[in-house]
Amino acid sequence: MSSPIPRRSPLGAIHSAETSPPAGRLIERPFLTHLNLRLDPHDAEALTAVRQIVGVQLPRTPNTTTVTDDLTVAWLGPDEWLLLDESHQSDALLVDLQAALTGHFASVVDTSAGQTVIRLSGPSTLDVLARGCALDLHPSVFPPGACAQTLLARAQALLIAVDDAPTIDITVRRSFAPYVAAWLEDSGRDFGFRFPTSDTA
Amino acid sequence: MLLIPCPWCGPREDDEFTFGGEADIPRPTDPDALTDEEWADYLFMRDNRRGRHREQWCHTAGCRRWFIVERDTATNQILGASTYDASP
Repeated sequence: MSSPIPRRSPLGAIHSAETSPPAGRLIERPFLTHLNLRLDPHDAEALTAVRQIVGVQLPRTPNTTTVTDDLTVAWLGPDEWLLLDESHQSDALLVDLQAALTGHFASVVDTSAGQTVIRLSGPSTLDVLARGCALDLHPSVFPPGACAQTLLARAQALLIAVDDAPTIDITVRRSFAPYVAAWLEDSGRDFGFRFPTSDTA
Repeated sequence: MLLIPCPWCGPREDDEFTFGGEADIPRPTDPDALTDEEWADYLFMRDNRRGRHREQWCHTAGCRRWFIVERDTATNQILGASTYDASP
């Protein structure tokens, strides 16, 4: 059944124009399912139940992710994870996890509508981010599979290294998304990034 | 700019943290039994010492965990950080 109200992503699903030479591009990855999962990491039964549903172990090493075909699980804290689901199966994952964790000291919260993912990719990606982020994101210390929660241009963001293009996925709160996109556009201008902001998308 | 070593995330800039005051101040187990002076002492009175100081920080923009940092208040040198579990 289709929703009577068309959903809108925070950035109107912006896509950057191709540049030549290709310095990099920025796209929004709208409408992913974002689930915030918290559970006691000493609860082996709960960990097993989650693994059976999502197919992979929850990452226990700080600031790392585990990735399957359509799911990324990012470490947010010793007892907290973010599940980014690309399968567009609406509530299936949420419902399954909530059922499996009933009776455990755990919570699963759907934050899909509250945040969005901006994907920055191309050779100049790290230069653009370095203008507003203090972390060293070079692949030698921030390889694909690493993640970090930090401040990007003073906005809270979760950075995930996707590949060594390099491609970085930036998860930000919905209300910060237009600001962060505008900041990225400004920061990227010197490096040849060109993309429409939400106003023109 | 302080570089604060979060026990989970590693060294990060102090922009990412919130200061939580002196550490190791246990909440009274039976607050009703305290006099007003004792309660006020628990709530408000801090050592404000010069030199090595154990204090609480929260990695607000990161993993959002509270932990303990030991810092020299005279030089701002960070002497170490630990989780509450690992703390004596």
